[in-house]
Amino acid sequence: MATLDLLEVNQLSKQIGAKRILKDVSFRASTGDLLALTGPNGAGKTTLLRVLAGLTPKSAGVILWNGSSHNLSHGLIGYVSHKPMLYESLSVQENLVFFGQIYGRVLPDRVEELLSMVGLWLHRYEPVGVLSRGMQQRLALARTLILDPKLILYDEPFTGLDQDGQELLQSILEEQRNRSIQILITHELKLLEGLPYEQIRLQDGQLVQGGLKHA
Amino acid sequence: MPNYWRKVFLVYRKDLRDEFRTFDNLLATLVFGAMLVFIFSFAFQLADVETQQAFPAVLWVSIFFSSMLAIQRSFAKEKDNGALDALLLATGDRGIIFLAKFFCNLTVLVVFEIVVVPLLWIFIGVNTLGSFDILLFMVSLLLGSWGLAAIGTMLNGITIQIPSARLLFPILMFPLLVPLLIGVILCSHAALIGSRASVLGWMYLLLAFDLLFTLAPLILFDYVLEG
Amino acid sequence: MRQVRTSLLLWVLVVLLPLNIYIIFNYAPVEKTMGVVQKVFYFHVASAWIGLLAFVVVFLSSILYLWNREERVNRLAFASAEIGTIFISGTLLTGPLWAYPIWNTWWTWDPRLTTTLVLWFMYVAYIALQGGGATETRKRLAAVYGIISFINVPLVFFSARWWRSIHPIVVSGEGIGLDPKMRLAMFASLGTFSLLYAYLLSLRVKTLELQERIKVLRAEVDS
Repeated sequence: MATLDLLEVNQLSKQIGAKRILKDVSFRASTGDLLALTGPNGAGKTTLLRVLAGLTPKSAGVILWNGSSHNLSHGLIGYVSHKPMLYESLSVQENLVFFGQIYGRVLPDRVEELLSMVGLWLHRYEPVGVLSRGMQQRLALARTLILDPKLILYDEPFTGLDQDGQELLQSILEEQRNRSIQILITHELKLLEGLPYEQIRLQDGQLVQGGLKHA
Repeated sequence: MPNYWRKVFLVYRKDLRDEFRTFDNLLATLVFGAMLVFIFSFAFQLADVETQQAFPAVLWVSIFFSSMLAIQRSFAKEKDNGALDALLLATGDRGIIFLAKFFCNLTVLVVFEIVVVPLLWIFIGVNTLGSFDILLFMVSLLLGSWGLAAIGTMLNGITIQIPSARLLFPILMFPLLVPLLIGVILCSHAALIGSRASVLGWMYLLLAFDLLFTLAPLILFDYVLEG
Repeated sequence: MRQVRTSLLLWVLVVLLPLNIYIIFNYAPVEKTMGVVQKVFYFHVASAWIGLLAFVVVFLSSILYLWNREERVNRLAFASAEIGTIFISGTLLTGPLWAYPIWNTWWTWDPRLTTTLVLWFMYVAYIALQGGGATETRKRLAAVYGIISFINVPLVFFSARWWRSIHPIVVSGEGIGLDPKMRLAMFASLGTFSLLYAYLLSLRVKTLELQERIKVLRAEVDS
């Protein structure tokens, strides 16, 4: 039922000033893949995700979505950061509806479904600012899923989640395998146990494990 | 294109809702403006200055200073926990964010003026002897607020990127506002004495200024919010 | 190569600067009505010219920087802004020295004076924005500010002039009707100051470059 999408990253580089944050990163992924992006602090993991999301411009290289560099539009990309990225003065529901509307997806049922799934339906009228860190993170997951993303980028999503939250995230990762490519930064691979994932490791801006080798 | 403006409207509505819900900002701006107006009128009274003449100057200096407060926070709420990234991803266009914030700031300024301008009018005791050109006055208020909101939104987008540089906001803003200041003061002065014909050229200049500083950010905002 | 060019400029200036002073004070005649105070003009106008030229350099290199993100382009913009500020300050300081005895006022809202002052404010704002720690973000944002503030310069000038043309013009700096010798002294000043600007600019760009280099080397030593 789901279409098969293909993400190709070829010799992607990012340079800020004299510093080379990413050096010729190449990898390939298609729908169903779950890539666990690991590496020491400062290896360029977050930068890689931001470049893929289009939040930071790349310096060189190509990112192809189904063979074209123009196809990867913003409406396809979900992004979960270690920051919740929400509006504190607006309520849980207002936040979700706002992002849903921008993406052109305003289905009341969907909002209820997502909020129930992340366990925030009963908190839907509370302003996000009063919620705990873990609850905000759950709402961030709902916000990401409301656009039915084809590519989901997670930046240390397990941070701040309790046991239930972690299980919720694991079930989302499992479920989204049917329809999207997922790339996830984590330091704790054991949280991905039971999920078929492929590890790619970044060190000093270079892929040292996984990915494509080139001369 | 309708989709573009639909997104602008959605972000605008979200910002406005936030603005009126966290009332502190709007309230602070209103009270600050009222106080400025009071201090100016009172100080002129004490120094025995002919306040009628000073009305346009006092009006615009008060609006300029208050607009700093009003606009200062328009990007802060985006930056605080990273919502700006989510918004960038959702809209996919930095121009949408600029326009929405611009309209929101313009709305706040208009609300502010509805409260503060009559107050100043009363404090100063403006006596126009029937020659008051209300349409010209309104238009000059609108053209002035437009320019303020456009430049303010642009520069707030700049200063918010650098945590230690938020105080630079007024320093960056005032030099850019000089042509606007000259234009709006001359126009509102002309409105008081009812000589519309003498400032027609200025209205066009203000309009050109406003358009320039609304269109230039649309191009440059990609670089501002590059992060 | 650039080293050679910079030191060559220095030697040219060592000759030209005293020569310029000589031309201004001994060659050009003393103005009849204003007297010796008119001599300040040669410095005043030349500084103003450099102030404007430096801002054009800031504007162009800001655009170029947003385009190619090269460090040296940004260094050029920043150095030019710093040097421009110094020259504009010179203009603003020498102006009143002349204006007080001649116009009988330290300051007037002549379009040129207004524009120069606003230019000075924009320079300072630009430096404040970029100077507080040279991160990539600051460089990028300063470039944006460099562009919009340059667009603003003609607007300031024309609105100030237009405003003054509605009111009667009390004093005007025009119509001095330069003596050929004075004209030569003026052009000599403009030329010498331009060379001085080029010299200071290359020196400052070099300093900024070395600062960067030290930072990189220090990081290498640390790691």
